[in-house]
Amino acid sequence: MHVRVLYFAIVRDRLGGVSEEALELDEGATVADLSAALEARHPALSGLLSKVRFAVDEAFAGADAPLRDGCEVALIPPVSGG
Amino acid sequence: MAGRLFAVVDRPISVIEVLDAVGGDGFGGTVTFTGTVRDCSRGRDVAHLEYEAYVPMAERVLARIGDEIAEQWPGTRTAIVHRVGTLAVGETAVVIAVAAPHRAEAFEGCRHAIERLKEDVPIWKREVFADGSEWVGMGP
Repeated sequence: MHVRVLYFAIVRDRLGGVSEEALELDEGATVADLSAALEARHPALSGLLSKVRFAVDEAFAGADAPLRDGCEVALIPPVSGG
Repeated sequence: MAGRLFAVVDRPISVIEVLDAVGGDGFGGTVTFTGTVRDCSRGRDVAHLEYEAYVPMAERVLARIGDEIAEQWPGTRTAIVHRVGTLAVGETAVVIAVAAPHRAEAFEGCRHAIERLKEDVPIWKREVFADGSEWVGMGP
């Protein structure tokens, strides 16, 4: 399946300014699978992934949440609005 | 008649605009919260702040917070506008307005709104100092 991953704030900075990329995952992949794939693909994210929440199609999702083909996943580092 | 206003904008916020969104003859009290950029943070002088947002999700979560308030304090109406971009000291980053038939619910709803916004809305603030910058909330 194809997923679109969005990077914000400190995550984007760690990736040198990359704000989004497309990833291919196996059918049935979960948020945890995506996280592992990102850790392998981007060593610069090590140590940071444990501090981010994931949002799938604009809703917070846990590690076991399934992904669908075409979904949009955002890495949400600790928020600081207001 | 007032509509729903839960927005992320990249322009100065009009407090009147946010108040107008919660207007109505049934409301006896309206409480607003305004978040502004301070001149110092943890002992360092702030040059300016930079806010960014995952805008579609931020607006969705702001609206959900409004729904939470209406559920917990029936009869209230909430509006929230948050600004993104570069903000100078003294500028307004967020305005929240909660209107209610009576003042107690307006105060409680408005407090709830800012606390919840700081928990879950995907907006991030970077403090820029004379000698560096850092994303808020990342710890030591």
